[in-house]
Amino acid sequence: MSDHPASPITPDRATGRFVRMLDWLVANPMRVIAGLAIVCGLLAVVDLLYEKHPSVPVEALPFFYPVFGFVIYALVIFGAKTLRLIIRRREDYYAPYSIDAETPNSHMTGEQR
Amino acid sequence: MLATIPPFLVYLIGAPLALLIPNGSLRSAFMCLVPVVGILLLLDIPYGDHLTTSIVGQSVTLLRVDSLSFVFGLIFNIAAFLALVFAWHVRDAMQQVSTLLYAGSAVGAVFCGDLISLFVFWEATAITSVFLIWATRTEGSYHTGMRYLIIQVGSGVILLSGVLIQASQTGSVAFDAMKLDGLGTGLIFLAFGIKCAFPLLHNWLQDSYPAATATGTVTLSAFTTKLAVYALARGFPGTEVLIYIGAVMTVFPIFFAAVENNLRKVLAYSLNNQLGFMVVGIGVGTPLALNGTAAHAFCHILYKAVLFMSMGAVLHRTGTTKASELGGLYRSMPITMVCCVIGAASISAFPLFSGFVSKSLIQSATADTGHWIVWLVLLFASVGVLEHSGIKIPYFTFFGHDSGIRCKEAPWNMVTAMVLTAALCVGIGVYPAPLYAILPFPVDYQPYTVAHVVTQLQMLLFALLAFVFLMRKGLYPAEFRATNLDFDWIYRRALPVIIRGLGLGIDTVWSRLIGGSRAMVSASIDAASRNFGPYGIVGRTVRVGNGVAWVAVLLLVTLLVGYSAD
Repeated sequence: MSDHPASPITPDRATGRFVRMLDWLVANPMRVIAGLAIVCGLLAVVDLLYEKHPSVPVEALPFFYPVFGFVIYALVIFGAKTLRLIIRRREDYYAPYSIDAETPNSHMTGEQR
Repeated sequence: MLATIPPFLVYLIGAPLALLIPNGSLRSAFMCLVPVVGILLLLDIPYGDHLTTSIVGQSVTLLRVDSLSFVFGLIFNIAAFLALVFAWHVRDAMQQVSTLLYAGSAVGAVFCGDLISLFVFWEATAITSVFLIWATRTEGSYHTGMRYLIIQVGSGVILLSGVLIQASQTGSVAFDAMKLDGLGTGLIFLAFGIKCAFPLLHNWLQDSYPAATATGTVTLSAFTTKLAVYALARGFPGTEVLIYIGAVMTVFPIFFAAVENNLRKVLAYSLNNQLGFMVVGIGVGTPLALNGTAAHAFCHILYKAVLFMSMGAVLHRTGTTKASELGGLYRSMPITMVCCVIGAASISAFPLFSGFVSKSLIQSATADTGHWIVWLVLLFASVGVLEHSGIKIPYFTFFGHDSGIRCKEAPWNMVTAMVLTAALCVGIGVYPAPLYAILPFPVDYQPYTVAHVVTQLQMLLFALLAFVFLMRKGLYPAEFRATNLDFDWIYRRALPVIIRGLGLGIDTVWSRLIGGSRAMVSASIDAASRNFGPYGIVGRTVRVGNGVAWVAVLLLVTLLVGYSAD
């Protein structure tokens, strides 16, 4: 709509530094993943250290929350991929009675004409 | 005197007044002032019933302020303010008026003390809000708006039917806690359920919100569904079926959101899932659960607003919110990205963000009341929320595959609104006491315990680890330009085909029937003309001799019959 392939915008210095930091993180994904893995490892260790007061019996199981988070996330993804096999149609399936395949106009985006 | 001015009146007067001001920053400033006045008025009104009058023998209360209506009234006014700041640059008078009247209707509905005035405001929210969809001004948005309007107005008509039956049975139209035990209350419950996007009644939400304008969706996301949550909390607290309806609501949208390409539609599914948590809270109905519902509605309006705002800003700058077209926008829109991530962290209930201090009230209430399966379902849903709102929205917009789009950061007003809303999300998460203080019941709850923080972080970060793992293995579903079917396929495709088929069938049978009858009639006429016409066997003239012979034969037959009869 506005200025897609235009030259990169140069934000102010603080934002520029922040963007450069993000650039570095994006360029080094393994470091981010390693960081996440370390935090997860620490959290798994912590699981054994504090006294649990389960409000629901399953909470008492060791490593319940880490395992639950990991497994359920994967289940959600595989469930959704299976669902997509059934529900996916062309983008213009409901056209012209829906906005799905329409290109947003200036009214929708609110860009000044 | 000031105490008796209902906040909705400010919006009702403010909308036409705004049109008298030249369309520009001055008008925008005036419009932003309206909810500020609304908040000031609200803070000044003492708890109790005000503006009570009698209409056709029924007591009508336009302003009932108590601890429940106050929370919703306050957040509606705050949401209206933030949405108006976000839409400061909009010069479309239709959207300006619609936003004010819609917000005013929702504020009005929250303070109704009776079902008649609730009905009026209920319909008003439907009629005033549809213009935010039509403001897109495309053929698709026109049809979407019509579908939205039919369903919303339909909900109002069902509400009115329920109210009339209820009034004839009980003689009262007071809007208090009801029992789901008859046709009247059943219809009222259904009307609330439509607006609250109960399972199978939900599609209007995902259909219409992505069709509104970049700023319109922010406004839409705040009011209609939360008004329904308020109505359910007021009318049906502790209704057990709501626990199960809510639990289903938290789960099914997750799967649709995970494969949806239009990120504003993903947020609409996510909104549906969050409503589920609130509905479960209403169903459980204990003070802790109802506090949870009110707190979660409060926080949800804010983090959902900041998420819709960030997507609105992206739509404003790039012209799309399709995940398949976006990526790498953190370079161009870093502030929008940070606000979006704050919204994502809040909805995912990371510690120190607002969702953490509100959702846990509902989660704890289900455990306390022994609803362990529902507790597990809500936990499942929490992981799902992290997937579609916590990870997918920010990742595919601002990181992921670089789309090559380079644009400006969002306009100052959008940034201001996003930063303000994000600040509220963090503020509530870090210091929840002021929110807890305005909840309907006294709060004796400590969200920041070691166990709660650790378990929540364990669940969320290991889910994040699963995302990384699936992404690296190429198992994460790629984004495609596609339309995904949902239950609305039944009334958008199947029913029209069935009805058209039925019509065609009736048409065919009818034309066969008419054709057959016509053929029979013309065959009879042909036969009659053949037999009785000028040359027919009966009609033609015969010679006298032949005639005499025929008469003789007839006489003979008569005689034979006569003799045989004897």
